[in-house]
Amino acid sequence: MAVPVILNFDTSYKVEKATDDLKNGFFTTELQEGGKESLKIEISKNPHELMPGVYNLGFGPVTEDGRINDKAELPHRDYSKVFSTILFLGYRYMVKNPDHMLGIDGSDNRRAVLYFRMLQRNYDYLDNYFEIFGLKYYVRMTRFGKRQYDNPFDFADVLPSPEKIIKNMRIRLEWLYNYFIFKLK
Amino acid sequence: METILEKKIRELDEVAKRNEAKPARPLRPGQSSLHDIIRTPEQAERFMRLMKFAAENPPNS
Repeated sequence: MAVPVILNFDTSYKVEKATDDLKNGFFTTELQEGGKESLKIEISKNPHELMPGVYNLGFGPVTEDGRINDKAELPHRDYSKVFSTILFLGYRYMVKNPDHMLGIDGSDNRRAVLYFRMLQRNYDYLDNYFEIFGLKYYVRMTRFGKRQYDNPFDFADVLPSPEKIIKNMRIRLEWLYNYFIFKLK
Repeated sequence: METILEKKIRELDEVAKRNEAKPARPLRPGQSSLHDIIRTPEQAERFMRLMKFAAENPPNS
């Protein structure tokens, strides 16, 4: 994706189908080679088990069994429209459910970098609607190096701690967040 | 006058009101879901034994 993503709800694709609670929605993306693909946006039924109030927002083409393939790499003609559509539905969902927050999984480091850069580039626009937080999935404990215990944590005592993403913040890529949380302003 | 964003919101509200999106794609004729096949604890146990056997005996092993 060489072209920078510019988020703007005004230029989003039309959501063609949705459930009345806005937890599911479908729209059609145009592909670079001229084809089209239906994409699903899905908000989880239940909140994250360690983060009350945070619901996962996933998106992607749908597999035969109706699940979202969030590993799919589609060459979109207009990434700005695609991400604007996904966030627009998320925004409207939160307007209807103001006590819910939405989390987007970076899946892998490359996507996490992509999302972080997109959030930074569009910070002023997004700041009109959301507070955005970043969360790291894993605590990287390096003190003991290779002698590190397999499981050095008491997981009942380790709490996820979202950090507010601020404009122009710099963070080393290897320390980047894996999960991004949107909270309605 | 209605702004573009207001129009987008109105259109989405209308789409949501129709409630046409299915959370999962419906099964094709002849397809069965596990939910249809496994109805009793015995069937579930048998399924789990089969899955365990399949995991321990991959093809070409």
